[in-house]
Amino acid sequence: MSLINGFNSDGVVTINRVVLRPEYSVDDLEERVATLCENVKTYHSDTGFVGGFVCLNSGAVSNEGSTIGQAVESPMKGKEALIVTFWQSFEQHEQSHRSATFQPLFQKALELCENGNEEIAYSMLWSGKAYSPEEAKAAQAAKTKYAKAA
Amino acid sequence: MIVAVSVKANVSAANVKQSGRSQNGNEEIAYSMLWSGKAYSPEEAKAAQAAKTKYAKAA
Repeated sequence: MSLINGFNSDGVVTINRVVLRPEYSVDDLEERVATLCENVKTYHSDTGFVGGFVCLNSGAVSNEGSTIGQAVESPMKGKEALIVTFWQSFEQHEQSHRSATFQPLFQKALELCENGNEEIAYSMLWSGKAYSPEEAKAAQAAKTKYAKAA
Repeated sequence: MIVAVSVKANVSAANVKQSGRSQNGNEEIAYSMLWSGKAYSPEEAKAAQAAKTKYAKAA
């Protein structure tokens, strides 16, 4: 079951990692990125854009999920954001960057970045959503049943 | 909403062999969701583009 409706299995995920300059706030980031995303949504929904999200480093590092040592609060709390977008193909993503209306907005967003901008494209290997309560009960029951049979 | 994203730590190759598992160990950082959205449908995209054109001329 796909997490993202309409996302093709050979689609591409791009991740921009943004580290905010000290003189800018998360509000600045939200405003400039929202303007950029609105442009992409308007002009590239029919040329490969599928969707996306923006998330902000909350400062929490999972002790349970980390194996590189005792986790402490991330020093990037509140200043590192990931802009994640989903595209039908890498070529379509690249074409979107060449758009005349996109570039000025992109440059405004880049002004916020302490780290320049790193945009890496990833191939989707897997995505999924949680079971419904009923599906989860059925899956748990199946596990129990076949664990005993093994 | 919190999203857990695994991010590769910057670990040198010399450290890789110590773990014997993955190259970077694992660092799981939690992110707060700021915004998410999906693309317009073809009809919505046409309407949005028309609105942009209309109000760009008015400005």
